[in-house]
Amino acid sequence: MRVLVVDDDLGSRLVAQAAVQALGHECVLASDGQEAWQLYLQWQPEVLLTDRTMPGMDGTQLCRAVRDVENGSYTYAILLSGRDEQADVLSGMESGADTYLTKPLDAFALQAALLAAARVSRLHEELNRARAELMAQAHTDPLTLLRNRLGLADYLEALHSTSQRYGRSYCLALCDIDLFKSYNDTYGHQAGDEALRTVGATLASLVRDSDQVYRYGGEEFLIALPEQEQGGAVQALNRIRKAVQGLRIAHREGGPSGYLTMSIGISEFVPMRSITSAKLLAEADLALYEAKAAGRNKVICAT
Amino acid sequence: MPLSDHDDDPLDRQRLEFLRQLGPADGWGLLPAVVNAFLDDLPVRRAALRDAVRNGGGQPLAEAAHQLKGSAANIGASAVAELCQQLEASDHGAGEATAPELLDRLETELDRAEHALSASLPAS
Repeated sequence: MRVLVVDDDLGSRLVAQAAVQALGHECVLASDGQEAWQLYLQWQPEVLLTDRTMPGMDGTQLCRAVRDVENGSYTYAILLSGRDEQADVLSGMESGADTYLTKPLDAFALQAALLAAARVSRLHEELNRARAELMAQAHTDPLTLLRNRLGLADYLEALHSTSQRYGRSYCLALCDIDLFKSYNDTYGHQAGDEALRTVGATLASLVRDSDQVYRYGGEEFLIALPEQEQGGAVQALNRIRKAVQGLRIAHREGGPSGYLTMSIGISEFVPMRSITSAKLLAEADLALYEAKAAGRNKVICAT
Repeated sequence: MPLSDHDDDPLDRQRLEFLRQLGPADGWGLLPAVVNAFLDDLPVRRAALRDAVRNGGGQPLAEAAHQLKGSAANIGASAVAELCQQLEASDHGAGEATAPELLDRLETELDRAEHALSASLPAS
C-alpha cells in the first residue's frame, strides 16, 4: 500500500517511515498538514498516518479535507496522538479518522492497524469495481449492447454546454427502422431482435469514434455527432442509411426495395443559437416524421 | 510506556532497542539518525519553552511542551516526556507545580537525557 506519513517532528517521521517500509509498504513523508494535503492529492495514498497535533492544518482537519474530496477511492486514516488526548482523538474520529494509535509509534500496533487498512482498502476496491460494472450494465441495452437512454440526458447536457462554450456545432440524428412492426409480424420477434442487433452493430461500426449511438426506443436509435455540421451529418447518415439497406435483410412488406430500411431525421445545433438539447431532440423527431411521410428510407433535416 | 527500567536511567532502553531494530541492519539501525534529529532540534525547542514560560505560559507554552513531548517520547526520553506533559497541562491549572518549577526540573532532566543519548551513539 501507499502510506502517507505526516508528522512535524523529524525523528517521529523517520521512525514511522522505517516501520512502514519494514512492513513492505511504500512511504511518502510530509512535515505539516498543508504539505500532506498536496501529497494526498498527487499521490492518492491508501493509508494516511498522521500526527493529531501540528501547527497549521492539524491531523483532524486533514482527515476532514480528505473525506470531503473522496469520490469512490478511500484512504484509511490513522491518527497518532498522545495518551492524554482522548477528547481530541474522538473529534478526530468524527472528522473521518478510521482508528488511532498512541505516540510514540509502536511497530506492532502499526502492523495491526495496517492489516485492517489493507482489508478496508481491498473492500473499497472491490466495491468500486462492482459499482463501475453495475453502472456500465445499467447504461447498456442488453440486446444491442449499445448505450440505453439512462445516461442520455447527462450526455446531451454535457455535449450541449461544451458546444455552447467553445462555439461548436453538433448534430442529433434519430434513426427509425421502417415498418418494423410488420417485420416482427411477418418474421417473428426472434428475427426482429436479430435485425435490431445487426442494425445496431452497423450503426456503431460506421460512426466516428467521437459519435455516440444510443438505443433510443424499440426500433429507434439516436446518434449524437459532436463537432459536426449539418452537411457532414447528412453525408454520414446517408452512408449509414445505405449500409442498412445494403445489409439485405429481407422484408417483403418493407417497401419498394424488399429489404429492411431506415428513416432518419437530423437536427443541428449552431453556435449562438438559443435552444435546449431537448428542443433539438424534438426537432430531429419532427424531421424523422417528415422522412417517413416522404416515403421512408430517407434522411431529412429539421428546418 | 513505562518510565525507565532503572529509576536513575533517563532513557527507556526498550525504546532505544526498538530504534536499533528499525532501518539499516548495521546493528545501530535508525537510532543514530533519530537521536541526532532530536539533539539537533533541542536548542530551538528549549529556547521556545523558556520564552513561553517567561512570557507567562498560555498556548505558546502548551504548544512548545507538546512538541518536545512527542519527540522525547519518540527517542525514549520518558522522564522528559512526562515533565513536558505536566508543563503542557500546567496552563489549565492542573498539577501542583508551577510552570517555572517544572521548567527547572525539565532542564535538569534534558541535560541528563542529552548526555545519555550521546553516550548511546556509536563513537564517531
